[in-house]
Amino acid sequence: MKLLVTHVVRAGWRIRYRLAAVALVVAAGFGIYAGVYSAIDLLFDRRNQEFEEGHVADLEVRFAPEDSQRIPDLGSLPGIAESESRLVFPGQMMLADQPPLLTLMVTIDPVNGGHINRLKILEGEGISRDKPDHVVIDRNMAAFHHLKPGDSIELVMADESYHLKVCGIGLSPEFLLAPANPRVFIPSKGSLGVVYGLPQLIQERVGLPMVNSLLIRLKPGESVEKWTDEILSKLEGQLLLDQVIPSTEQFGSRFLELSLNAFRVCLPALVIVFDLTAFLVTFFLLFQWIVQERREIGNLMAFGYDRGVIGLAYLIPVAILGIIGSVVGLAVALAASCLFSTNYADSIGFPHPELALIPHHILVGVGGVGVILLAAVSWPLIWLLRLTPLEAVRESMGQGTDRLGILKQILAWLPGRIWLRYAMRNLARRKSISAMTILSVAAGLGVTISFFINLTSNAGTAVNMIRNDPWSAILELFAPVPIEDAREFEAVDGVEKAVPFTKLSARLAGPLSKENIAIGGIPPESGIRQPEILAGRGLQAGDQEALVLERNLAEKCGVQIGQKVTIDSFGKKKEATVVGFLSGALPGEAYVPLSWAQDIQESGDLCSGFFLIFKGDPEQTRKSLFEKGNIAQITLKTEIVAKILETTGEKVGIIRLGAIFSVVITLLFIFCSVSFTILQRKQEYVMLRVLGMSDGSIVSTIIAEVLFLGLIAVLLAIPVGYQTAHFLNSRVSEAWFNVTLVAEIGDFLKTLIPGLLLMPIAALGAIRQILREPLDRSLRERQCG
Amino acid sequence: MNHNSASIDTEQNPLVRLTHVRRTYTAGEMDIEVLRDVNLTVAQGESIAIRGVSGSGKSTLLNIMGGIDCATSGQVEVCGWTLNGLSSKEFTRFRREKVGFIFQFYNLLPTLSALENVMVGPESAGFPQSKARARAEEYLEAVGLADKAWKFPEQLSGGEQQRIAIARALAKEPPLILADEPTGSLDEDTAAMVLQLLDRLKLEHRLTFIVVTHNPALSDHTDRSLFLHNGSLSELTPNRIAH
Repeated sequence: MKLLVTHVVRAGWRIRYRLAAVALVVAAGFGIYAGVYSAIDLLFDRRNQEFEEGHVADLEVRFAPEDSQRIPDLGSLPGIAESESRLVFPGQMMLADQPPLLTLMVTIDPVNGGHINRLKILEGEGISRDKPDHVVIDRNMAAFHHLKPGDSIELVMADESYHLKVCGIGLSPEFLLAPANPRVFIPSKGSLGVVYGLPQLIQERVGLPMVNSLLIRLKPGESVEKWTDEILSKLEGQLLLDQVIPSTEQFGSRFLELSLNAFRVCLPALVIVFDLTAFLVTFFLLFQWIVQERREIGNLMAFGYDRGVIGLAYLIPVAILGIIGSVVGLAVALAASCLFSTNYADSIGFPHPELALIPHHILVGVGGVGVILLAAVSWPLIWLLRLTPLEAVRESMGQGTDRLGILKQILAWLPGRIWLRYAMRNLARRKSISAMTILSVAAGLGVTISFFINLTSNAGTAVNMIRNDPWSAILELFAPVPIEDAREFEAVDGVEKAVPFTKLSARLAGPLSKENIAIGGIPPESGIRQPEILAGRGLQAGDQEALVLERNLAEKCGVQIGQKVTIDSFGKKKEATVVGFLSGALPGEAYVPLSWAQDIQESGDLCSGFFLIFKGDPEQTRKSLFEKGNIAQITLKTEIVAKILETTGEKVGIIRLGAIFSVVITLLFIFCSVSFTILQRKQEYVMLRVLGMSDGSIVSTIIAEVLFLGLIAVLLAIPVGYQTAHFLNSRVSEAWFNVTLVAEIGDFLKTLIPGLLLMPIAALGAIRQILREPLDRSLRERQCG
Repeated sequence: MNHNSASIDTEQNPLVRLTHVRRTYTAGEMDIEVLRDVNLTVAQGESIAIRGVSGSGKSTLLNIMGGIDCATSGQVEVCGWTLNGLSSKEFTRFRREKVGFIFQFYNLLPTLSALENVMVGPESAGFPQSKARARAEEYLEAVGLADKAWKFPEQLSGGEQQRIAIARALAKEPPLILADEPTGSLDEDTAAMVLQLLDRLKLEHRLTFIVVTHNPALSDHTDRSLFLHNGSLSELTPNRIAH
């Protein structure tokens, strides 16, 4: 046995570079699987860790500003662990050469408060009572507006100007992602500033310790749904309630969940194709090796070695490969995890997760390496060991399959020069290998294409959600104004039309559950919002109590089209009829006629903002509009579109990473299959050289064969990519918003052109070997054909 | 007669002239001398047979004359080309223009039909496709296989495959034909038929023909026979055959 093992290990050493390629391929397969899945888990872990360390609120109740002394004590409710109140006040930070930045001032009492949604100081120092004009700013605000401790900022709140000094940069579990633009439900970096300051800062100007937000943490195991009702019933009548946000519906948490789940839907396709290709490459290389060892194995059997012992001996180098592959795979996994998680975190402004791997994924990956190697080496070994020693020594493996078969007659009439005919016909000689190569390459390229299409579709759908709308900008006010004020805005130079809207938070009780909804009241005849209607209809002129609901929310609540539902806006109840379901990126998005919204709010003819249609230069018009008071924010549609594309653009990095892995593994596959088939025909190429065929024609023959293979694969990759994208979009649609398939020619070309151009490179090794083969030695070895 | 040099019909412009040719191979630290001081002159239109036991260096000698292998020392002149020190590209051009090869195992390309296999010769010699095809059809006719033009090698018998290989060698009409055991894989009757074919074609096309073989019968079909023993070439006389 020792001699046998020595022979096998030395035989393996003779082809060490090929075996090293096997180790690298299995390492890559293992690394991609363990790395990517670990990255997803680590991102969730980081979110959970921040939530836990930062004592994130289970529930936040927003209400109209009230004296902090008059906030009801919730301590009597047995499910509540702790609660604290604060003021979240909108204002504007003045920026040089830019429109004012909508900024939230969040007050924290450094002595008695700040336990819930605890602020972690990343740089500088926290706020203290002896420095009332010092504030801590959110890390994303600091990053995107280039602010640092020691800088001075000017904040305007309720027409009061505050000159403040930045003393530190902080991270709150409430703002883990870059602050959101809720219009499109994407993290839009730098679109919202968050400043943490002392309550006294505002109290000094207002005269009262005002609060408008109540943070609540429940005791472990208590249900948020159950206590939400209890808390609301205790607060109703004492506070003018506005909004209830459970932590699970908090933007950062919700976006991360949905977006990573969308990745979870897409990534298995990448991992499956990648690992399948890794398996095939491994299979090819090990198959080649065992076939080369055929005569030796036949001799060993003839010498009397037991077949099982021979098989075991050949498994030893394969086990060594598995160990090397696993160790290298760990490094690949760590790199993949780091690249994926940091790239993703950067794209949404999320803190970087720690660099680690999840043991469960490592174990599955190592198991996969073992299974792949064992399966790849077992098949040819079992095949060979079933032969008699004589058959093993004499027979050329696969000789019987080296025929043209039924394609022969068709190929016999193939036109063109002889070298081209020879190249084309070679494809039909090993039909199973050619077919496997074409399918694997098509699958690899197709999946990459599908990721690009999926990304384009996501961006396209998000953009189309607003692109069809006629408005140019959304103007949001600090305080409501009468709808007649639209005329004042229409009088501003550059504004053609102003359509009022009002926003309100409410709860919808359906047969299945009670959910929070964000209602937009708009004039139904205006057609100013044109959301994608998935069932039923949108708002129409003459609608009085129609309700258009976001599809996922409707399904969650169990409401049907035509059903009458009761909307509860903090004690004020009103009925509405569901007329349609819309596709929305913002969970709980709903639209009602403006008059209905004003009725439930009992706000008369007030509105909270305007949709504006511009006729002049948007930037100039916005500048003119800001000269009027009471304007919190003016968001241009072009800005929203740009933000969507920017966020998508940042995710392209992740897709490119996947694309590079796919293309590399595809090339590796072509390299192996082409080397396998071309080197098997080495004698024929030698013969062509002997007959006087030039090196250029030999190279052309091989390249033509590879390119023809690649071309078929590329053509097949187009429908594969399109169909896979369709599947991915449908999965994302189930999990999030309805994604329409939007495919651009660039999505195909970005993958297919590099793939096709790089394919000949994969044949260079075989070409080199063929051209360097000494003619006389080859002629002695064996006849060709 | 010197045992190390063959007796030749001296001509003003011989087609092949080998002068003091040596060929050694290195195996580990040992040098193995396969050919030692071989001298040979072959006139245009002459046919010779080179015989010898296995491992005597027959194929090496043929390969050197065909530009497949290089002499370690000595002068090799074939068809007006001096083959010493040629580049790989020049060797390819030499083989393409000057030499037709016939091998023991036919070495036909399995994916090409009989006609296409014959076309490989003229096409690689730079003939336009239509001319290459016409030439291939002409030589298929000459070897009696015009009706099998679209058959693939696997559909042909051994004798037919060798006739295709002969047609391939002749189709580009090279000045020199080199054959390595052309009847080695054929049964007696088929071998006889192939030899008759070669005789006819030699006469019709005035071929210069060098064949290496074990088969004594082949010597009867050539103008001269030479014997290669221990790397040295000598004229094969009836006495020597008896010896």
